[in-house]
Amino acid sequence: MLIAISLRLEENQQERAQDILEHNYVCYFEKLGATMLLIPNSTESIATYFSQFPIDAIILSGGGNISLFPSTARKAERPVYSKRDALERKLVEIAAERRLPLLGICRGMQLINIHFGGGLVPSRHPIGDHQIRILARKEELGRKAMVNSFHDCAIIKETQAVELKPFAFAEDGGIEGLYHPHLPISGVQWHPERMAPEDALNKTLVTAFLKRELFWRGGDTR
Amino acid sequence: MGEKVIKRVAYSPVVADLFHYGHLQSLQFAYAAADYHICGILSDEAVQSFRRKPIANLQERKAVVSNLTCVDEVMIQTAFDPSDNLKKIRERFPQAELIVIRGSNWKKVPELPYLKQIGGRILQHPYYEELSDFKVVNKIFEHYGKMFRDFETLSKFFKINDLTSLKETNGTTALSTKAETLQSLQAVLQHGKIEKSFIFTVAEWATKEEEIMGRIQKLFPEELVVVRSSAVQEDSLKSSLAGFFHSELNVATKNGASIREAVNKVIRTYAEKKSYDAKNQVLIQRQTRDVQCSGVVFTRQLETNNPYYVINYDDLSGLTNTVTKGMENRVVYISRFCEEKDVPSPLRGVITAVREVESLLPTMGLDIEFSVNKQDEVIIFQVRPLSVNVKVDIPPNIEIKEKLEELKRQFDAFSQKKEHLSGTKTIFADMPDWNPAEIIGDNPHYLDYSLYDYLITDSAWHQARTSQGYYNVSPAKLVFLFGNKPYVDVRHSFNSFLPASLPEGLREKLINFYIDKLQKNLHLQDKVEFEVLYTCYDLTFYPRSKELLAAGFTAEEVCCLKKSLLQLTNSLVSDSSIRDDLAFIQEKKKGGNAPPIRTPQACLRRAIQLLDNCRSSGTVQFSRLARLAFVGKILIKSLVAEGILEERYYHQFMNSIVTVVSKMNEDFYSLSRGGMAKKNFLEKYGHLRPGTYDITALRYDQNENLFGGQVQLQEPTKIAFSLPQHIQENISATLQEQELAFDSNTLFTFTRAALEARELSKFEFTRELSDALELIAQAGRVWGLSRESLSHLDVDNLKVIADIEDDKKAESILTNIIEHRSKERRINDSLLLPPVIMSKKDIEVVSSYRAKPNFTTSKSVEGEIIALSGLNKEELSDFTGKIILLENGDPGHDWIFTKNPAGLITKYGGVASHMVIRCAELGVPAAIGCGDLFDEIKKARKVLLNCKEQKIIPC
Repeated sequence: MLIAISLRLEENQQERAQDILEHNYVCYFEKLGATMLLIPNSTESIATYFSQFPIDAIILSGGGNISLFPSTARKAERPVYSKRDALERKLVEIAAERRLPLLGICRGMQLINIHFGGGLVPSRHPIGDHQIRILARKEELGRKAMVNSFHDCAIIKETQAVELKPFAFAEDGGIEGLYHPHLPISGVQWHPERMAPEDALNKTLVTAFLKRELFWRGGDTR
Repeated sequence: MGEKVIKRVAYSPVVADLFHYGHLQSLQFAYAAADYHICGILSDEAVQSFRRKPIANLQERKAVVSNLTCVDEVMIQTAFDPSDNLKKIRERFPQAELIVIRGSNWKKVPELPYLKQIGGRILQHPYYEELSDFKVVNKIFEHYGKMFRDFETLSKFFKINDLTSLKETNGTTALSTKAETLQSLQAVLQHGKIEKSFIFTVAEWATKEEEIMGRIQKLFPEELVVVRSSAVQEDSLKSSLAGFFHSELNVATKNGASIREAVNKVIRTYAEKKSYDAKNQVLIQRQTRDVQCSGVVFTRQLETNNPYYVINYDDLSGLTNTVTKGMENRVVYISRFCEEKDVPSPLRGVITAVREVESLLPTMGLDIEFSVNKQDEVIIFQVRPLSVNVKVDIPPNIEIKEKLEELKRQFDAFSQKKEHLSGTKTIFADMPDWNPAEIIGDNPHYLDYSLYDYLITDSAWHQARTSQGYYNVSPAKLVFLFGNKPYVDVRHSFNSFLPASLPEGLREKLINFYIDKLQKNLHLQDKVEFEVLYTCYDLTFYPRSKELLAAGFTAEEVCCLKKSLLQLTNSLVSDSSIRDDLAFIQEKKKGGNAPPIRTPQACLRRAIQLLDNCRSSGTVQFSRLARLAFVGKILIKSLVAEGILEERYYHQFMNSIVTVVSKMNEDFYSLSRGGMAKKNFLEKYGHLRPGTYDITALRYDQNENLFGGQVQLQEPTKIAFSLPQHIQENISATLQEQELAFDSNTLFTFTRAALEARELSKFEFTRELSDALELIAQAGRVWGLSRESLSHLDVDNLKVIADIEDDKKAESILTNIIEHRSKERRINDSLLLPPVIMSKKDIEVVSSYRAKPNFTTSKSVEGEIIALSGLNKEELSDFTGKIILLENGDPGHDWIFTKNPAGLITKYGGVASHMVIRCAELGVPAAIGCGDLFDEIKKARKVLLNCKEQKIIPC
């Protein structure tokens, strides 16, 4: 199984931009039997990747902010690159067109929300471990879980894209999980690949993503 | 990018009965779960093998699913077990993983063994509990069941969702239930405004008058209010427009006495109308100010449920109650499919607001009272269900919508610039020129139209004019159908009235001027030859031609037009063609008897032969004579207009004309006194029928009723017409002065001859037409087809059938055509079409203009009215003292004059129409061509027809 993953774009101390990826992603997904294909932040060669490699799924990785919604607090530390936005939007388009499973993690989820017309607000809840409530498949419905997240911006009910649906909430009502109703596209605000804290939720979620079982569906009520 | 590889195929077996959100959820799930999604729809039999029969059939269920974007392909599954379909899919996608999507509510999974064998899987999607069949049914019964006595009232609730019945079944006696409804609308309406209102019943007023007074004064401090009645019986809805409801406007709330008085007055009107229900209501509403337009909208046509907004409104008086009182009334019909941008202001805002109210009360016909104030705000006063429509089925909306689209395309196609004709655009009208509304009516059978077309409006009409010196418009049909309604293509008509000698540039200018003038004066559409066009030279040319100069024509152009018209007129009046045409027709009459006919095919062949005869040697002559009669009449009328001839002489002249009808009248008089045998009378006139082109109308010789009963007739009198010498001399001198090459005597002799010859030629060709219709009916009898069925055919169909000797084959072709056309006709019957179509919009926004009737004689009569419809079954006796109401005064209705009517009123008919001539000739006071006014007159019992003052007063 071959998974294409997007990369973070950040300046080093010499102010040179670098494509980088937290090593956790590779370890975590390789353990589950996947091979990771790193996609650089350029839309130029993207078509070639998809024509040359039998890509099965796409992950939008975390870290950094979206260029349209730069962090006010840490502007200086985290330069924002619209090139990454462009590449990742392209990946969402390809996923929709080819009906490929796509998972957005942290910033990845925010990008999905923006791509489908939603917005962001400055994050309100504390950074680090916190509790969420899952509104997904029956056996998980209403269950609480501990997750780890680290982000400047957040999605709330008012800024969620109309086309998307939520399946996990933080205690303050912030949206922690989102999915598309008729495409295999989903996103989570936390980091399953960090496995700390570890909850059965992470495995269910990622397995569902890889096997395309749409775990996040089913909490949909009136 | 490379081709998408299908690695996984999802198959979702579904019933999808009454498709809802839960179904959509599961299909979207399947779509997202694989690269390719095939939905298997269970056939009706497959469904019945394990549960109740679905409400929607396979075709309906499949149509919904096939149109979803989340379904890549649809298969029919003919058994409960999908394995057969799965095997087929496996063959097509041998490499792909196959998964079957099952809702978590499916207990049995018969395909499991096969799936295991091929390494496929079942994937469950969460079942959407909220709309499960069980829950839906349960909800209906639990929620609403207790509110109703039995199943019938329950299902009726779902049919109309009636505001007032909701109120009653709630069983509350709250003072303000109806006001609450309005107020709850107020909370959600964005486009409509609701004035503050308060409602109470007559019973409450009787017991709690002081409490109610206190609440009114508290709710509306220092304001003006309207006090309205609102009866509970919904069957009074229809009469509401006739003033059943009473409204007191501008009642000041600070004056307690005036409120009490207004409320009591409203309650008294209930007593006067014998409506004693204690639940009758009184509604207090804040008075709306600065009204620019007010009225009532029905969201469907009354009694038929046709998909039109019917807006009765008043945009003149600035009052809010004139429509309900039946004053100042204008009606516009707007198709429910019409885009808002096509609706003229201020009604556009009204439609927006009405649509919003409808979205809150769906599936229900509504009656909405509204006003539009000067700030263009729409105020809604009352929303009631259109209860008279409840029992009527809703017609097939989609078909009507498609039909309207088709008519718009037809308009576009017909309006294209035509190389051989002048005029940049055209309009379509139902009464100019060969007035189809008058001759075949505005809803003719297909055969009526086809015959009229074949005999006259296809080509005879312009062949005649071309031969007389007018511009040759060929090829140009005069009359087209929009839906069932015939319209004259005004550009075709007007071009054919141009003198052939005019230069092209002037032709173009004139046609554009004429069409523009008609557009601005629609009421002239039945008088175009007299008031819009210059079809011959007459004495009013100089005063009239000022309009041309004002419209930008140069003096040279006007002079050129004058010369052409003069030349044309002189040649027409001096022409000896009247004699020739008449001689030609008389000659033909002598033709021998046809051999007896045996087969239906032979009947049709003979019928076609008769029609061809009419066409080749009858209708062209008739058309020419008709034109000459017009020219004569225009000239004599211009003498009156210029004050050279007194009007009484004009009437005397018209009255002195001796035509077939005045002869028929004499013969009828003679018949009624025993001087003439009925057999002889019918031999002469038996071929006439009320509806000359209508096969379903019986001939005089088939309709005993027409000549039944005893009638006391006055002996018809004809006074010889003669003009005093000095007037003749004066006329002759004027004619000469105007360069007209004939004298007074020639003019009058010519006009008399033309009018008499026209009537005779019409009489003759209608005999052949009538015989042809009987032959068609005779052929139909052999094939078992009624006259009604035959009326769906056209001349071309008849020609085809006439050549098919195999009876079975002929019958099956006929049945097919008839079925197709009668379905078409049913759809067309649901359309409302305007008298004039000027643009595409007019097809969906149907408004009418105030017609100006053509009055004949200067008499005044008052009498009971008799509407002549459903003629064949009616008891027809003496019309003495009665005023006859007739939609279209076709010549076949001449028999009415043998029954001594006091007056005649028609809906259609122009200034020089058949009935105008008849009535003038016989001295019967008449108003011909009343348009929409006709429908109002029809509601009255008696009417005063004052021709001198040009008034019709229902009483």
